[in-house]
Amino acid sequence: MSGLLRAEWIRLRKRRSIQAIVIAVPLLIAVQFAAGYLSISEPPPFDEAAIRAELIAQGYGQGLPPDEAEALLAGQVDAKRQEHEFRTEEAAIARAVYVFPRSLVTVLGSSVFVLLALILLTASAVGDEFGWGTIRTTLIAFGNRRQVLAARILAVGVVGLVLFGLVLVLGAVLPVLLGTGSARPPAQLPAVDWAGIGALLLGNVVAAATVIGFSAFATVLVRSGSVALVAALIYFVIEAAILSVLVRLEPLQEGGGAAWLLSGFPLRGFVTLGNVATAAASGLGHFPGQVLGRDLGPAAFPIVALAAWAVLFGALAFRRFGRMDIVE
Amino acid sequence: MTVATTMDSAPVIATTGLVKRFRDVEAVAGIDLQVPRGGVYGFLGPNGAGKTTTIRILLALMRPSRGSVQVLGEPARPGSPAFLRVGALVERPAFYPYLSAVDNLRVFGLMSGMSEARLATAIPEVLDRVGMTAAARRSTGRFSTGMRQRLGIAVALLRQPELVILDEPTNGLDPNGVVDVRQLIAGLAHDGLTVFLSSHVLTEVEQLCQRVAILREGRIIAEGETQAMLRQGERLFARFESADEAARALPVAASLGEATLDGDPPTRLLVDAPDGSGPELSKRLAAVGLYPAELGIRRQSLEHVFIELTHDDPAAGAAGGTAA
Repeated sequence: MSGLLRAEWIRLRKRRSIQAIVIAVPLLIAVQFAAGYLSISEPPPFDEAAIRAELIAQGYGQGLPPDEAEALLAGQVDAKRQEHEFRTEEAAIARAVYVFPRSLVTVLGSSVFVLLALILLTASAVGDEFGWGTIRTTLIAFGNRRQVLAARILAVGVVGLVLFGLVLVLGAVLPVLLGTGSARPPAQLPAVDWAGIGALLLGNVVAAATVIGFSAFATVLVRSGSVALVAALIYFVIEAAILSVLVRLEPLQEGGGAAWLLSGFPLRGFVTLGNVATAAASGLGHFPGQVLGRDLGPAAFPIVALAAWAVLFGALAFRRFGRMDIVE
Repeated sequence: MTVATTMDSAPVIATTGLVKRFRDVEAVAGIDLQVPRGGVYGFLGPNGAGKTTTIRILLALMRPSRGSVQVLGEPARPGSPAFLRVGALVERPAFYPYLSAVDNLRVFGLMSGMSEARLATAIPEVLDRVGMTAAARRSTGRFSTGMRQRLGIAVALLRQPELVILDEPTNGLDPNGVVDVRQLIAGLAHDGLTVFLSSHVLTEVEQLCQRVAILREGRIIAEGETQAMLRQGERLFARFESADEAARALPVAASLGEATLDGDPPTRLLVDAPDGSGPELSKRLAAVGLYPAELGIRRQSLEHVFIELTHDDPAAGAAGGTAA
């Protein structure tokens, strides 16, 4: 197996497309992080006199007795002040998610790029063998098909772990580069829950295993990486269609007793897992006063379901690859 | 390259009742094959005869629908350790196009369990053997067909196998390359390896192979020593100055074996007579006052034998083709 892994290392590290993917994913996440942070705009300072003058110019209190007009203006100015405070706090909350360690939650939220990259990498690492015909040369060189496929999947898995590692490094480095720590924190800033970050990371890693398993199975089934990518897209559509039918059933609707079952579907499970773990880890809503549930319990089922899908897809891929005739 | 081979007489390849069916098509229809150790064994057949399918089954790239296969004494299953002693080139050689020749060899060598240290000596050696040293660092994506063919042979030889299976190894090679590869194959056999050679180039098989099997429609229709197969097609040949003399000679020759007239005008006499009948025919013709302008043995080429066998109807081929 060590020889196979060394061979994989030579194969992967000299592949331009893989080099591009490994560079592009962190770059995309970094750009998204920086653009997100830099796009947050602070409302201009509250100038009571200017607002009062503007209201008068708009005709507020015109025709009223002076004391009634003053009371109306004061009420309007107060409403404007509250709105300004709300916007200022909203901006502070938006900035807070870019401050370490909450920045880790933010970058992990972008890890869908990693998953897409892993679908591409698996389809390419396994599928190109059929396209080039090297599957024949490979299996003549070493006929243990399970080990050959395991080495391919393991190599892609290692690339995935490296990408997740880079994502976490970005989560630590980008706040320093952008100086996010100097921003005014929101009035109420809940503590970061490291268990939530752990669950988010674990969920992403399990989701990565699922997409690798699915891509490997789809690729050996259709004997082509590019067709496997189309198969992945078709799967997305099929799952969405099935869910749209299932959510019409009352017990499966939001708040229904069996709604959690829908998290057993891979894509739905991934979304649920992300929402639950992000809320638990960060505790910050999108606007002042929003209270988020920080219970990690609902993340357990999607993680287990995703792991089960990973095992199922992996087993199907090994079974198919072990029995298929190599006609390439 | 010298390979230590076990001194047993067991065949290196043995198949029994091998069948491969693709839906309604029977590509291999019951092949019983015994390839002895040492020498070059030719595997012939027209396109679609089932040669490549058989080779893929031998290498466990395909599962047979029925029958058994043993390679180097072990059942041919994916991952069988026997395959570590087998090198093969099947159809069009395939490589990672973005890697150099050396890196491709490293990848396939490492996969087959060779150490980096062993590869450091084995790779230059095989590249030199197939005449690819100059292109060692070039990306294989830019290789010509001939270069790919040579590199494919290099991959097959990399781990110093006991058995080398070559499927059309001279495809795409220029005339010099063909000669080089033929010499290489002869050299492998000389070094004690067994070479299982599938080829369309019958002169190549005739020159290189000690034994041949001829396949048609998934069945072996002839199998045996190449020379014996060629001798089976030998005829006594006598040419006369006139068709009249040839016609007079026909009944005399028929007393030795089946005799026919050939040519336009028919001045040539062909006699299917036992070995060593030449002097006797000469004596009998002289006894009736006939003296041929030319007398000798007409040998058939493997091409003639092949065409004769593969164009006959299957029943006739199966019944009468075996020369062993």
